[in-house]
Amino acid sequence: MASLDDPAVVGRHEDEHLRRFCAAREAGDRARMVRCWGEVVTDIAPRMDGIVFAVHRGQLDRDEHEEAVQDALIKVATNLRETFKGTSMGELVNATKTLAFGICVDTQRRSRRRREHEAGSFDAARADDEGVVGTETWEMAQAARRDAVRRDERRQAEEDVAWLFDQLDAARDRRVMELTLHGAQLPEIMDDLGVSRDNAYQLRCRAMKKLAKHRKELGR
Amino acid sequence: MTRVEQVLNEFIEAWNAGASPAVHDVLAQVPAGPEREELGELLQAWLAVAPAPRLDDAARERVRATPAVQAALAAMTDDGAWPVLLPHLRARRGLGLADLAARLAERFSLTGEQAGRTEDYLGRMERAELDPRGVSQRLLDAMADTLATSAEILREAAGGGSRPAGAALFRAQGEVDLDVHALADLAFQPSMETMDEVDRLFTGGADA
Repeated sequence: MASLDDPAVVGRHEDEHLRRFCAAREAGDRARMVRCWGEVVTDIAPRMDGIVFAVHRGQLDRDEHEEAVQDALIKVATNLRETFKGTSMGELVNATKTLAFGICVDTQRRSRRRREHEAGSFDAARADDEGVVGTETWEMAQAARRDAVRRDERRQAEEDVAWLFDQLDAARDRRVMELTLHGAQLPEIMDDLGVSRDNAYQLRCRAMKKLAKHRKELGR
Repeated sequence: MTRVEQVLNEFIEAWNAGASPAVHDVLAQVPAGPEREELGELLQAWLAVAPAPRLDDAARERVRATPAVQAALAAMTDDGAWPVLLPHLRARRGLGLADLAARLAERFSLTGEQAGRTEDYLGRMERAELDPRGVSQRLLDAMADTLATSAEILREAAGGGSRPAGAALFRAQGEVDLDVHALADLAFQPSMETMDEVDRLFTGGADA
């Protein structure tokens, strides 16, 4: 069964850049750490748009989203280089999601201040029944929330993949998603299964719809 | 095949090819309403389990060439990301250098002459000719408000030279360790008494 712990799923090339960074960190070679981290940032950059979107789930408009992506990339490049203690791409993606969550909150706050109007908000937790809670309490609540997000995200992704493969009865359906989740592109899938482009599209859509429905039922 | 299915598949193809598809652009390909909501849910499902895109050398170069990534990578260098980031943020807000200077002049109640010098200083920031350590926090706060970002990000983007002046003099456990370069930097800074408000904002240090 496919799992996000499977190195093939998370992608070997980027694991290699991260491995080099970890080796430099272990050796205390700061110059090499910085060089390697640049490659790691390049690895994660194409995912940042999707990571930020998955965090705010459409609650940020296009301008706010672009602000958040930019800010998240800078924070990953500078702050996370110093604070990241993990060794795997999965841990880095989770750390990035946690960081992106805080940035989405900040972005929406700034935007709200600019527009001076209220909207559906990440800040909902800030107001309790008796009014707005203190800043310290708010920050502690957010820190706790970020920790919870970090713990839950990876577990949920693993569960989602496991659930999805359990639902796919036909070997052909399973193979399409297995290849897709290993980063395969359409010609590779068509060659592997001997199916047409439309057929491969349909199989993939069917699986993604099952997963989307499942996630919705679980409130994710 | 429905339009939503078509767009979803194209997104997955682009993702796995390392093409960094922008989610908002993809959503805009279907009409607002139930179709866009369905596509949003499918994209979220994909993003929850998506593998890392494969990046060949050409794709890596394309990624590095985007302004956001250029700024992030520049933030890791001693010169910092201000030369990339500040013009990018200004452009996003539709502001020229003079516009930004005017906004700051208004914020800090500066004279016309001081507004001109503010523009000069901003130009130096964008050319990495100004020591980030000298830039005051209240200036970064004002710039962040105007440029729709955070002062923390602007400080992070300042690069390797952004440590506070004097910080290098002191090491762990109370041990005093003289840093000749840091001392020289401090020695050449004008005294606070001779600075006017514009100088203090741009060169007076974080607390000025």
